[in-house]
Amino acid sequence: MRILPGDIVSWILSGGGEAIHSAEVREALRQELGLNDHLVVQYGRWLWRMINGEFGGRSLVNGQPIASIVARQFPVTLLLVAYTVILSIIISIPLGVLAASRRNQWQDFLVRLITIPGQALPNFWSALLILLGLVIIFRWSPPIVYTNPWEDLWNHFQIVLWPVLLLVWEHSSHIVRVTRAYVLVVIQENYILSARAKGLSQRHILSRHALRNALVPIVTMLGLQLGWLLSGTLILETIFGLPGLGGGLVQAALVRDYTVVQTLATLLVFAMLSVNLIIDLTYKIIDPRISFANQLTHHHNGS
Amino acid sequence: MIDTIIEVIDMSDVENSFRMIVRLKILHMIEGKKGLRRLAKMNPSLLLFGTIVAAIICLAIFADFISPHNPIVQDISSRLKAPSQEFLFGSDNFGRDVFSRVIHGSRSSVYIAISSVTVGTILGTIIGTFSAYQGGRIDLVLQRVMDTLLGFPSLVLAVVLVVSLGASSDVVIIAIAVALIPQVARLSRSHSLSIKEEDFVIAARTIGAQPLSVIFKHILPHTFGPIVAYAAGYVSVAIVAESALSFLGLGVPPPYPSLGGMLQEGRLYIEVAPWITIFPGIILSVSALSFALLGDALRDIFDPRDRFYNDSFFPWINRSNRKKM
Repeated sequence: MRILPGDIVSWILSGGGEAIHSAEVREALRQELGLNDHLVVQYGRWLWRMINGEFGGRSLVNGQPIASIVARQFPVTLLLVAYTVILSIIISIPLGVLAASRRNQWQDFLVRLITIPGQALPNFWSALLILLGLVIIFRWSPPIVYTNPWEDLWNHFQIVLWPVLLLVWEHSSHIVRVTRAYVLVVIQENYILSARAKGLSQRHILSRHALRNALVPIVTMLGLQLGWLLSGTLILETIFGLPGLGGGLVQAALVRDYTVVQTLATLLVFAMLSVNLIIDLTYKIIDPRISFANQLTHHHNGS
Repeated sequence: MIDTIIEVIDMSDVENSFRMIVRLKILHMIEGKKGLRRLAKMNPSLLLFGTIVAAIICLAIFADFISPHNPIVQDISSRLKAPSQEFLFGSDNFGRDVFSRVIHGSRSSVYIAISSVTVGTILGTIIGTFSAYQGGRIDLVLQRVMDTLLGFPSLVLAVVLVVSLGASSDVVIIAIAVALIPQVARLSRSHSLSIKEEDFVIAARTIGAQPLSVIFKHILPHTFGPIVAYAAGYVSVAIVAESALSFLGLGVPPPYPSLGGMLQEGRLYIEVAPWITIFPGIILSVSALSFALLGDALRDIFDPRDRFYNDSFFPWINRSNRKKM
């Protein structure tokens, strides 16, 4: 992690510019920040501060306690991810079922036409286009300063709207495609045929029988996609100037603020893994046939 | 003993016919008098996106010959020029030709994307095939490790790698490859598992073939097709990931052009000189989309299991090739 430590010292001393400082000044600063210690010692120190609740100590650049940085940035990213996931689920599962039930009809083609660019287009490019379009066509740009919803709801809505829409497009494109694919597989099963023979309505069959059985892979996908979603927030927070964890991580990475990068990355990965663990645990609710006792062996033969 | 040998010969025939089916599918489309026309009729998306991808790769290889100006040398006298005869895509804030920079930028994008996908695919295939072949405890442990890696936010991993190792194209390649390994491993494992149970593999093991030779001669040739098909799709993901990293300032270091970096630099001038961002963005989107759709078209041929997921982008393509293939 700290194999190239020269950078941060010159960054702090020059304030981002190209000032030249004497070797003694640099050395004193390095000593003060503890950068001269052995890498293992530095890592141990960070790890200890991570465990005892200080979130890894202080930022190397401005000495802020990392706990306060996290406390400030965490709600922003959490809200962004929450909006995106909730909207995506509301939009994409019905769309996926619709596309599956109208396979190769215009509804299906329309859904495909929207989802494929959503999967493949780089989101920072669409973000730039949107910003450009808003400025040129509507002479409007999002507010510059972020506020939390409980401070100024309207301002919050304006600044969060576009990044959330972009994330929803990207996120739900994957979910729609997976939903469509699995519903199509399930629809061919015999129990769907017998449900139809019983005279149940198409609507009932799709929501009760088909979707229910396709739900496990869809939920798994939701968990795995969260990694991409976090990557998306990294970029969009930077472009739209949202003070969240992702933007914070990129900022810290650019100035080589090692402690902050280590802490934020650890937190993001930890969040991802815990969400996936929770999702694993919900399988039993979604599909009562799954039991955890033999899930390991079962799971492995299946996938 | 003789019975076994006869059986083995039979089995190897099965294997050959297995392999032949895939080959025939492609040859059937390409060969013949009106080969291209037939290909266009049966699988137009393969032809269309194959051509675009080939063009992009040529552009990358011959970048030095195609670009009219030097992409790095600055010329302040001609800064922020609108697109014209001399500057096809205009010029940027340092007076550099955007057209040349786009071509060189796509060269580094394609280079990084293809090398990272190659590295990731090879390592992932080795892990996945080994895991499937061994089975048991080793398989279980390897799968857990891959699941954990799969859950990792890939861009966060990339940022950490770039911070610790410094920004260079090699580090970007490693970062993207690491993110791809678990996906490829999963894919090749699931394919190897089904091939492993085929009679010809069992026959080969019965006559005492070495594990490595079973893997290389009997398993890999069958899993190879689907993996390459997916790899084409991963190139698209890698192109986007690479440009995202350089957009954030964590990819290819500045003077050398990269598509993501150009978008970042042009952002400041987006109202005065939109062409600095628009052209790299278009090229980036076209390359990402065509690699992705080429991957879809290839998957359609090599991995019909996933047929529903891969229903083609274009409705008219879908219908014609379903009937005839």
